[in-house]
Amino acid sequence: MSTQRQPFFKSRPWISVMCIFGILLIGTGMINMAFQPDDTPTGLASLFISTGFVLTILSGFRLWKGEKIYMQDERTKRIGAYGLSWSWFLTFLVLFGVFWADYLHIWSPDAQMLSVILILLMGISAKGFQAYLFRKGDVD
Amino acid sequence: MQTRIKEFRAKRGLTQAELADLVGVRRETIVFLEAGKYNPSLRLAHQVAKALGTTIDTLFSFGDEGDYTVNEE
Repeated sequence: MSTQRQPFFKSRPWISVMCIFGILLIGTGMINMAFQPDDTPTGLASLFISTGFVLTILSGFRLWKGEKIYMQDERTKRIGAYGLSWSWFLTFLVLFGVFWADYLHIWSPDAQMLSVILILLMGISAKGFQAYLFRKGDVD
Repeated sequence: MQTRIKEFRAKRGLTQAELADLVGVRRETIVFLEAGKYNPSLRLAHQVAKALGTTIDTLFSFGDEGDYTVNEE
Protein backbone atom coordinates (compact mmCIF):
# COMPACT_ATOMS: atom_id res chain seq x y z
CA MET A 1 0.00 0.00 0.00
CA SER A 2 1.21 3.43 -0.81
CA THR A 3 1.19 6.07 1.85
CA GLN A 4 2.60 9.20 0.29
CA ARG A 5 3.25 11.89 2.87
CA GLN A 6 2.06 15.34 1.93
CA PRO A 7 5.04 17.74 1.89
CA PHE A 8 4.73 20.56 4.45
CA PHE A 9 4.64 23.28 1.79
CA LYS A 10 1.64 21.57 0.19
CA SER A 11 -0.19 21.01 3.47
CA ARG A 12 -3.42 22.72 4.46
CA PRO A 13 -1.92 24.68 7.41
CA TRP A 14 0.81 26.13 5.18
CA ILE A 15 -1.66 27.04 2.42
CA SER A 16 -3.86 28.70 5.08
CA VAL A 17 -0.86 30.73 6.26
CA MET A 18 -0.19 31.79 2.65
CA CYS A 19 -3.84 32.81 2.23
CA ILE A 20 -3.73 34.93 5.41
CA PHE A 21 -0.39 36.41 4.35
CA GLY A 22 -1.93 37.35 0.99
CA ILE A 23 -4.87 39.08 2.70
CA LEU A 24 -2.43 40.93 4.99
CA LEU A 25 -0.43 42.05 1.94
CA ILE A 26 -3.56 43.41 0.28
CA GLY A 27 -4.52 45.19 3.54
CA THR A 28 -1.03 46.64 3.98
CA GLY A 29 -0.98 47.86 0.39
CA MET A 30 -4.39 49.48 0.71
CA ILE A 31 -3.55 51.18 4.03
CA ASN A 32 -0.27 52.36 2.56
CA MET A 33 -2.09 53.80 -0.46
CA ALA A 34 -4.79 55.45 1.65
CA PHE A 35 -2.55 57.17 4.18
CA GLN A 36 0.48 58.19 2.17
CA PRO A 37 0.89 61.77 0.92
CA ASP A 38 -0.46 62.48 -2.57
CA ASP A 39 2.93 63.05 -4.19
CA THR A 40 4.44 59.73 -2.98
CA PRO A 41 4.86 57.03 -5.65
CA THR A 42 2.47 54.10 -5.18
CA GLY A 43 4.77 51.44 -6.62
CA LEU A 44 5.38 49.48 -3.43
CA ALA A 45 1.73 49.62 -2.37
CA SER A 46 0.47 48.32 -5.72
CA LEU A 47 3.13 45.60 -5.71
CA PHE A 48 1.86 44.52 -2.26
CA ILE A 49 -1.73 44.49 -3.50
CA SER A 50 -0.91 42.57 -6.71
CA THR A 51 1.20 39.98 -4.90
CA GLY A 52 -1.46 39.70 -2.20
CA PHE A 53 -4.17 39.08 -4.78
CA VAL A 54 -2.14 36.36 -6.52
CA LEU A 55 -1.33 34.65 -3.19
CA THR A 56 -4.89 34.89 -1.88
CA ILE A 57 -6.51 33.66 -5.09
CA LEU A 58 -4.12 30.71 -5.57
CA SER A 59 -4.11 29.57 -1.95
CA GLY A 60 -7.86 30.21 -1.57
CA PHE A 61 -8.50 28.05 -4.63
CA ARG A 62 -6.35 25.28 -3.17
CA LEU A 63 -8.16 25.44 0.16
CA TRP A 64 -11.50 25.35 -1.61
CA LYS A 65 -10.55 22.37 -3.79
CA GLY A 66 -9.03 20.40 -0.91
CA GLU A 67 -5.70 18.67 -0.42
CA LYS A 68 -6.48 15.36 -2.13
CA ILE A 69 -6.75 16.91 -5.56
CA TYR A 70 -3.29 18.46 -5.13
CA MET A 71 -1.57 15.20 -4.26
CA GLN A 72 1.51 15.04 -6.47
CA ASP A 73 2.20 11.95 -8.49
CA GLU A 74 4.51 11.62 -11.50
CA ARG A 75 1.84 12.91 -13.89
CA THR A 76 1.08 16.05 -11.88
CA LYS A 77 4.80 16.72 -11.41
CA ARG A 78 5.41 16.35 -15.15
CA ILE A 79 2.46 18.58 -16.04
CA GLY A 80 3.50 21.11 -13.39
CA ALA A 81 7.00 21.33 -14.83
CA TYR A 82 5.76 21.66 -18.42
CA GLY A 83 3.20 24.30 -17.40
CA LEU A 84 5.94 26.36 -15.76
CA SER A 85 8.20 25.96 -18.80
CA TRP A 86 5.49 27.11 -21.20
CA SER A 87 4.66 30.01 -18.90
CA TRP A 88 8.33 31.02 -18.78
CA PHE A 89 8.50 30.91 -22.58
CA LEU A 90 5.32 32.98 -22.94
CA THR A 91 6.71 35.55 -20.50
CA PHE A 92 9.93 35.63 -22.54
CA LEU A 93 7.94 36.30 -25.74
CA VAL A 94 5.89 39.02 -24.02
CA LEU A 95 9.06 40.68 -22.70
CA PHE A 96 10.52 40.49 -26.19
CA GLY A 97 7.39 42.17 -27.55
CA VAL A 98 7.43 44.84 -24.83
CA PHE A 99 11.08 45.57 -25.56
CA TRP A 100 10.40 46.20 -29.24
CA ALA A 101 7.20 48.12 -28.50
CA ASP A 102 9.22 50.40 -26.22
CA TYR A 103 12.14 50.62 -28.69
CA LEU A 104 9.80 51.62 -31.53
CA HIS A 105 7.92 54.07 -29.23
CA ILE A 106 4.65 52.19 -29.70
CA TRP A 107 4.08 51.47 -26.00
CA SER A 108 6.41 52.30 -23.13
CA PRO A 109 5.20 50.87 -19.82
CA ASP A 110 6.91 52.05 -16.63
CA ALA A 111 8.61 49.61 -14.24
CA GLN A 112 5.54 49.44 -12.00
CA MET A 113 3.19 48.54 -14.83
CA LEU A 114 5.64 46.00 -16.22
CA SER A 115 6.06 44.37 -12.78
CA VAL A 116 2.31 43.96 -12.38
CA ILE A 117 1.98 42.54 -15.91
CA LEU A 118 4.77 40.03 -15.29
CA ILE A 119 3.52 38.95 -11.86
CA LEU A 120 0.02 38.34 -13.19
CA LEU A 121 1.15 36.84 -16.52
CA MET A 122 3.52 34.33 -14.93
CA GLY A 123 1.04 33.17 -12.28
CA ILE A 124 -2.06 33.03 -14.45
CA SER A 125 -0.40 31.56 -17.56
CA ALA A 126 1.32 28.80 -15.53
CA LYS A 127 -2.02 27.82 -14.01
CA GLY A 128 -3.72 28.07 -17.40
CA PHE A 129 -1.20 25.85 -19.16
CA GLN A 130 -1.31 23.34 -16.30
CA ALA A 131 -5.12 23.26 -16.40
CA TYR A 132 -5.00 22.64 -20.18
CA LEU A 133 -2.48 19.79 -19.78
CA PHE A 134 -4.48 18.25 -16.93
CA ARG A 135 -7.52 18.12 -19.20
CA LYS A 136 -5.44 16.70 -22.03
CA GLY A 137 -3.98 13.99 -19.79
CA ASP A 138 -0.32 14.17 -20.68
CA VAL A 139 2.28 16.57 -22.00
CA ASP A 140 2.81 14.80 -25.34
CA MET B 1 -0.83 3.19 -26.72
CA GLN B 2 -3.35 0.55 -25.69
CA THR B 3 -3.71 -0.84 -22.22
CA ARG B 4 -5.55 -3.74 -20.61
CA ILE B 5 -5.55 -2.12 -17.18
CA LYS B 6 -9.35 -1.84 -17.06
CA GLU B 7 -9.76 -5.53 -17.86
CA PHE B 8 -7.25 -6.69 -15.22
CA ARG B 9 -8.59 -4.20 -12.67
CA ALA B 10 -12.09 -5.60 -13.17
CA LYS B 11 -10.77 -9.16 -12.73
CA ARG B 12 -9.28 -8.15 -9.40
CA GLY B 13 -12.45 -6.31 -8.40
CA LEU B 14 -10.64 -3.04 -7.84
CA THR B 15 -12.01 0.43 -8.40
CA GLN B 16 -9.90 3.12 -10.07
CA ALA B 17 -9.52 4.86 -6.72
CA GLU B 18 -8.36 1.65 -5.03
CA LEU B 19 -5.80 0.94 -7.74
CA ALA B 20 -4.63 4.57 -7.57
CA ASP B 21 -4.19 4.22 -3.82
CA LEU B 22 -2.29 0.94 -4.26
CA VAL B 23 0.28 2.44 -6.61
CA GLY B 24 0.34 5.91 -5.00
CA VAL B 25 -1.06 8.09 -7.77
CA ARG B 26 -4.15 10.22 -8.26
CA ARG B 27 -7.31 8.57 -9.55
CA GLU B 28 -7.20 10.82 -12.64
CA THR B 29 -3.84 9.27 -13.55
CA ILE B 30 -5.46 5.83 -13.63
CA VAL B 31 -8.32 7.25 -15.72
CA PHE B 32 -5.89 8.63 -18.33
CA LEU B 33 -3.78 5.46 -18.17
CA GLU B 34 -6.80 3.30 -18.94
CA ALA B 35 -7.77 5.59 -21.80
CA GLY B 36 -4.24 5.23 -23.22
CA LYS B 37 -3.76 9.01 -22.99
CA TYR B 38 -0.98 8.96 -20.43
CA ASN B 39 2.43 7.47 -21.06
CA PRO B 40 3.60 6.22 -17.63
CA SER B 41 7.15 5.95 -16.37
CA LEU B 42 8.68 2.49 -16.28
CA ARG B 43 8.40 2.58 -12.49
CA LEU B 44 4.65 3.31 -12.53
CA ALA B 45 4.04 0.74 -15.28
CA HIS B 46 5.86 -1.83 -13.12
CA GLN B 47 3.87 -0.86 -10.02
CA VAL B 48 0.54 -1.10 -11.86
CA ALA B 49 1.48 -4.46 -13.39
CA LYS B 50 2.55 -5.76 -9.97
CA ALA B 51 -0.63 -4.50 -8.31
CA LEU B 52 -2.72 -6.28 -10.98
CA GLY B 53 -0.67 -9.47 -10.79
CA THR B 54 0.59 -9.35 -14.36
CA THR B 55 3.48 -8.05 -16.43
CA ILE B 56 4.13 -4.77 -18.22
CA ASP B 57 4.14 -6.63 -21.55
CA THR B 58 0.63 -7.91 -20.98
CA LEU B 59 -0.75 -4.56 -19.84
CA PHE B 60 0.68 -2.20 -22.42
CA SER B 61 0.93 -2.41 -26.18
CA PHE B 62 1.89 0.12 -28.81
CA GLY B 63 0.36 0.23 -32.28
CA ASP B 64 3.50 1.45 -34.00
CA GLU B 65 5.73 -1.32 -32.75
CA GLY B 66 8.74 -1.85 -34.93
CA ASP B 67 11.20 -4.70 -34.91
CA TYR B 68 13.77 -3.71 -32.32
CA THR B 69 15.46 -7.09 -32.10
CA VAL B 70 19.16 -7.35 -32.77
CA ASN B 71 20.11 -9.75 -35.52
CA GLU B 72 22.86 -12.00 -34.26
CA GLU B 73 24.80 -13.50 -37.13
